[in-house]
Amino acid sequence: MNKIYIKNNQITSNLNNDLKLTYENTFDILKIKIHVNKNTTLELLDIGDTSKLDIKIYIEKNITLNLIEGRRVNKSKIQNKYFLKENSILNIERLYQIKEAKQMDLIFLNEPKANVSINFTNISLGKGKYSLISYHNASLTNFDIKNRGVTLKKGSIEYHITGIVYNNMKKCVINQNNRILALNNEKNIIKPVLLIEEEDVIANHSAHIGSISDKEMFYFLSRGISIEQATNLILQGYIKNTNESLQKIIEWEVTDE
Amino acid sequence: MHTLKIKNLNVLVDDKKIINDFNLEIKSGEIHVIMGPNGIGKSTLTKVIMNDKTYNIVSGTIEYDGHKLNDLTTDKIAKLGIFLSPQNPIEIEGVSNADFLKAAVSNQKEDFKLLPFVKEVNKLYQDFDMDNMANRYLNVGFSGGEKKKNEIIQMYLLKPSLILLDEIDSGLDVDSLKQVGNKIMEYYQNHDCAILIITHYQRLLDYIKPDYVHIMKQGSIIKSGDYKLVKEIEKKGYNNW
Repeated sequence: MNKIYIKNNQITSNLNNDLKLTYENTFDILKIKIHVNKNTTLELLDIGDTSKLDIKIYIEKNITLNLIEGRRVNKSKIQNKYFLKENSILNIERLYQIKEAKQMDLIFLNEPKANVSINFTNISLGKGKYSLISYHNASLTNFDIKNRGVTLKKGSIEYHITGIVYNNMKKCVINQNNRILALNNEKNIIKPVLLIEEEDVIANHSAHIGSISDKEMFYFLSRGISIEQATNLILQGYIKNTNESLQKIIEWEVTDE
Repeated sequence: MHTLKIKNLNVLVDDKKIINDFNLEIKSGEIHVIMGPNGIGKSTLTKVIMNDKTYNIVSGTIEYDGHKLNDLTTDKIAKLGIFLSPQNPIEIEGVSNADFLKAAVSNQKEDFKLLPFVKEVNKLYQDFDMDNMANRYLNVGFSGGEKKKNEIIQMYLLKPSLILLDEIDSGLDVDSLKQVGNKIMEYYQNHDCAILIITHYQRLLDYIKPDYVHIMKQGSIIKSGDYKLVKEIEKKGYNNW
């Protein structure tokens, strides 16, 4: 497996010939370019105090990239751009634990049958704002995102998820599924937006913000499980839905917190 | 010997009196059943015993083995050995049955050991024809019958001394009802415990024979008797009491 490890904006990597990496550090921003020319998996771990990243990933025709992304930092400011060619596939599995985050993902589905799937689990300990735009620049392009956020302590989350389908880009599919479990009293926002000019499109979005209901908590309590234990079980349940190697990074921190 | 004593209990929900000067005493080795029409406070009673904060106890006391339950939190009450099987068991996505049970059982057993626990869990799920369901999310996607069987599995693992069964018979087909009824009786015969059953129907009582039958209306017990009272209810219905 290919690995990129970033700590406090310093990068190290262990890569094979499936992809090509270039990077430079300019004005405290780590700029990374990755060209993927063979089917492969990339594990990208970002750990430390501060992270300022500008990442561009290019995926060639008929190529699949499985991107496993773990991030545990205090403060992050990140822009990701993904460029997909014909019949290429990008599967992203993300697990973040961040105190303060500002992130923008731009997805360019530039040629027919490009397909992106994102499974994002996020534990927020501070203010986190995540914006994403998927540009359907070709017909038969698919985009699917599942955002699952949990807020703890002073954590809050904003998801701004936008899908854009231009005229004549037929048979595109967009699914936006956003869910925030609030374990505190901070304000959370989900803004799913679908900007669609073409009629021949399937588009769905869902948004749910809520805490553990009184009925759910009563069920835990009635089995002798305390409020703290119940909250931890639910939180661990969120994490267990993600990739195992990512769990190792985050679980340590959750226990520590 | 364990004893539950409910004295002069009055409970309000949204300013409406749901439990009205209610009195009941249940001792180990006794099975009580409370029957009555819908909406007269039967389910409320079981939740009030567990001190569900949704309900406002305005007067009266509930004691179990000398502990005043009104003053305890629900988790502390459960740790005294009181088990409530609710009418509609909750589904919790992301939390597996196994993790839920491990948390519950390890809280109640100081000498908790994982391996015997896993063996016991697996055997119980097999006994209830629910192989491989321990690792599924808590009650998620379970049929009504499977949820009720899952309650009885929890009961076996937690080994309570007072069991509150709120419409355990709802959602069960004929075979499952027999299986659940027999399993409850098997537990009762092998443990020092008492059972309080809430039900509308006689059919569960073919398998679990109560010592005391109570008819509840307007938040109070209006008549008590033995098993013969069940037959009378079947004949007369609830409107004639």
